Amino acid sequence: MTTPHNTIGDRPIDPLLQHRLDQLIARAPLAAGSAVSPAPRLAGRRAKPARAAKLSALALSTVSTVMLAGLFAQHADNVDSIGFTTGTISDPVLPTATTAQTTPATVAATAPDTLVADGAYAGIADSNRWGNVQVQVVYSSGQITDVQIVQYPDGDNKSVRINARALPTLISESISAQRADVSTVSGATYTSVSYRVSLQSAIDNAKAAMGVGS
Amino acid sequence: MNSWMWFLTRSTGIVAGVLGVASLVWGLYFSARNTGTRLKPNWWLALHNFLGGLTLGFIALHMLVSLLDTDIGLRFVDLLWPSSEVGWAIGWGVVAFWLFAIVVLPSVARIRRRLPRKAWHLAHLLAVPAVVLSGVHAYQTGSDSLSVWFTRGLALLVGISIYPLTVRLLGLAQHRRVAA
Amino acid sequence: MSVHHVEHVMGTTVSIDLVDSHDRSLVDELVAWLYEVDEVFSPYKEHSLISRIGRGEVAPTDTEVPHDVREVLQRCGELAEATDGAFDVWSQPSPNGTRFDPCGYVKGWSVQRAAHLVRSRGVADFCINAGGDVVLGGYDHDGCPWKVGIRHPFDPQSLALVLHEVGPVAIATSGTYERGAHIVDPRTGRPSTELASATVIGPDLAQADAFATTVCVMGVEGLHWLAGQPGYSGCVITAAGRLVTTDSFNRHRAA
Repeated sequence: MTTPHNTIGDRPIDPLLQHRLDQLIARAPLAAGSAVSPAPRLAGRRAKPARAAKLSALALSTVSTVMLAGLFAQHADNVDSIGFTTGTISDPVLPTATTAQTTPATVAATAPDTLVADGAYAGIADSNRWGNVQVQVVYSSGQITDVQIVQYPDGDNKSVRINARALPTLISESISAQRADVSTVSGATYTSVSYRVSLQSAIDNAKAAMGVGS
Repeated sequence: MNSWMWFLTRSTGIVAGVLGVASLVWGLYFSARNTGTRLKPNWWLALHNFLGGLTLGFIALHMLVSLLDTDIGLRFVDLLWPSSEVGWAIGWGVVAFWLFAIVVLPSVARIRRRLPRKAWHLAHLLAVPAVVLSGVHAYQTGSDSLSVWFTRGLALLVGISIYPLTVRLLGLAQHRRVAA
Repeated sequence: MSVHHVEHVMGTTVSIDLVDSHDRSLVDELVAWLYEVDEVFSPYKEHSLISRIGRGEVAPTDTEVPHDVREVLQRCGELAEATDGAFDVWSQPSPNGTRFDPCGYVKGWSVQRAAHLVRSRGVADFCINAGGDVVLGGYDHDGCPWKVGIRHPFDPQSLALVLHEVGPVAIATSGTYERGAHIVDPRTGRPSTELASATVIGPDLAQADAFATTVCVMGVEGLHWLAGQPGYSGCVITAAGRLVTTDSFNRHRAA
């Protein structure tokens, strides 16, 4: 009545079981569910397995997205500007009218309001997409005698390198001044003090050394 | 407004990355015979499928929001095809997107039924390079890569992925040895 | 056959480079002019005319106010109108305690006058850089267009751009990376931090200087405003490191 493989021993195999065996042998994809799942779907099983887990995954993802975005927004507001102001090194508050007594007109001329103790002070650091920039200012007798760049972003770090064919473009590389061999540098107004560590002074020194005259 | 698009680009990217790793780990744990008996296999599988779909969804959202951030200056075509203008930092992300699409979309029941199992399985394996390339993309697009939290988090995700992957590969090797 | 001189004056450092001249007396004249400007205009000097005007002790229309100062004040007034108040020297926190600080205009103006002096002496090729604001004449030492670097806002030892310029032309850069957020938006009273730097190119340094400050105040939108100023072009670098330029600016860039 049945083909030989449809018996277990002498007994015929239940047709339903036979059907299941056929399916397994043929490795046909199941009507529902995955070929990987070893357990056949039972009739009457809840139609939506893992519903709670799915909902929590979705909720968690959405909430995390919003919260992270908020975190980034908050962090962006707390960033101070690059630069330093004399006499208020330790104060991260952005300059107001009174603290805008920045650099003296001539280095020796005006005395600062409060005499800052001698030593090296970390300047204001800035964190942005390019990285961290921090200056160190050295005070001596209440005057700034040196400005050192403590930390500035590496030229080839992993910042976004995007160029749109129209504006805007991103500065993805900083140009080495030596390679560019420029005659002069335009930048935000340096003070007589920060001039000393500036590119322009290197250029001026080179010109002077070349005997261009002085 | 643009800044918010930027913040959302980053956050959706991070969440998509976490979801991708979660899907991968779930899938690995599900299929590896050496990770113990699986209680409620339906539950695991259903969740794995859902996470996969959610990952693709968040990737799409991430891409869309990055378009809206005009500061970045992406064109729509840049989302679909890496270009030298845009750079490989974004390019790897685009490739990862396609790989994820190849992993997830053919797994939709209707499509999967029409595919021979081997083909489907091979495509599904692309999940691993997809996750790897997402990590590369995340690291190279840089704004957060300078944050200690980010790099540590990324390392953690890599670690979380490697463990079950290793277990799975070892299991396969063992299986082959036994079968041989 | 050239002269190079560096002088610390006006709170910054001025580099003078006269290519086709070795006239030291001309350099001395320039330096003297700059000191004179400092004496009159410095807001750090209590007794300077500007400080006294700021304190209200002298009215701008008084007879003791020299013609030059009146010219400066008039130009500043015109600029305040042209920029819708974004460039307003009467709303700047000033070191002398008043709210009047025309430095944003004066530095450029004084160097432009210096350049005028140089040209009137028959020197065509020169470069004067006052604290980062540059006036160029003619060609450089090799007879080529001047190569001007724009300082990278985040990497002090690097350049963000290189420009090739033949004089006469002026280049002014305004930014927050040297003195911090000292650029205050007169319209709101708050510091502007959207941009790390703004660079403007044009025929007159005083204008370029004022425009650069204006653009810094306005943010990236300032570039749209600048595009409407005939003869002037420029670029900005946002705090996020993005470079945005006006269309004609790109013609100045090195390849």
